[in-house]
Amino acid sequence: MRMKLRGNFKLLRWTIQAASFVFFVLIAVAGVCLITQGSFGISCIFGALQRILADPVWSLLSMLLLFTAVPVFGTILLGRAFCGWFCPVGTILDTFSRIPRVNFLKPLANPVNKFALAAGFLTSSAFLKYPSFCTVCPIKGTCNSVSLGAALRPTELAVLAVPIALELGGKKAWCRYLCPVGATLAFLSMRKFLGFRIDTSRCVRSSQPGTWGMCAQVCPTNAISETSFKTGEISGSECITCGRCYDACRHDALKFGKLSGDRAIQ
Amino acid sequence: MDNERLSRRSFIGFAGKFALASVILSVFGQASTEVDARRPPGAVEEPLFSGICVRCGRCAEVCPQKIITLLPLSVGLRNANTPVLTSNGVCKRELDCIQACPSGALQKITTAELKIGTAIINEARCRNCGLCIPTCTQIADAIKWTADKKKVYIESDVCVGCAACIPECPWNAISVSSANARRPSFRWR
Repeated sequence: MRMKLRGNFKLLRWTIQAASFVFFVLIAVAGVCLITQGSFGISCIFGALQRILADPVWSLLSMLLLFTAVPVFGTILLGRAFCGWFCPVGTILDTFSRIPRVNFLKPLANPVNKFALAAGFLTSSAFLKYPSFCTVCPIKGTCNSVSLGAALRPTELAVLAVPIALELGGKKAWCRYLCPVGATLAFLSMRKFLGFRIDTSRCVRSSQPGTWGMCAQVCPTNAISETSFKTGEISGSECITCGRCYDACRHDALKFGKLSGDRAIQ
Repeated sequence: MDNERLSRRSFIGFAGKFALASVILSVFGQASTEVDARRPPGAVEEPLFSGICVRCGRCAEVCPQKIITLLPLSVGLRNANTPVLTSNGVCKRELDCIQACPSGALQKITTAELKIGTAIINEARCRNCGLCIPTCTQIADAIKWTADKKKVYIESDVCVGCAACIPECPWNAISVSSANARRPSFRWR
């Protein structure tokens, strides 16, 4: 018989979140934006896109496109794992998970908004000739908030006010509705290869609608919808692969593995 | 049918938000003032600099003289948080900032190639004492006596803009600007 170890994703996730927070904020030179080692580098996909559009000479194109290889293929493979496991803003927002919520998000609460905002920032970058989102990016602000001399930089931290204020309105509201970096990753993970899905033969809710549904309740990004219980599919663009649904399910109905390729884009 | 109408509606909604965001951000992001302060050594040419710099501020942290500051948000989003030198800060040309830059916004240059600006003498204040000359002789040899040894002048092509002469001047007659700085074009390593 297979051992059921519930709650192990939580420990693993917090460990990785804490480790990557220390790495991006305290150790890495430019945090998530750009990590370089010799002539090799890893660049933020959305930052690279903005810079490529902003640079009139296209001189950056070859280098930055090369540097996005790791995050691009990682996201196509694993979806928005960056959002759930590595992003320092996501980690900060996760620490707010138990605060009482105020319902003020109604006009913002649409996952499409983040795609519109990302496309808007790309257009304005091309028009303005500089990466317009990078200047106000809360991820960059968090990564650069602590200087080498361990002093806090208040101006860099100020941009964090937006995601934290939105967090009062709902879990991961910034990540779900507005974050352009998350939107870029969401676009790439619409047809991701690996991820969580619901085993409808085990799921109690699939056969008895209206019962249980713990996974949908703990999901911070509302990726599990009513149709998920029928088809077993979890939204590829919204799921951040955090594993909370796996930990919450008492019936071992959530499976991590290869997703079928013919899923409808949600 | 219902589904189709719904997706068309959400697409129009997306297009509207996209257009609105593009216009607002483009208008909002355009407000920016020209930066006339000196950029750190090796900074790539100006329109490109604000595109390449990731605004991590490491150059400001590692600067041994602590003369690099990051521009405030009030200069506009284009140049917010990008590094400049303080107005009369003396660059000792140790180039630690270039070593720290992860993005290539500060290009690898040698000390001999460095030219971050040009110093000029305010003729009305200068008493032609020549106190600034010995300092510059060791660095760039740009400040010289005229042939008749009556006037001090700066050879602007030779001046590297390091501002080492400014603290030497008792009359407050020298100022340094970013004029004629040597700004390399971007190359990745």
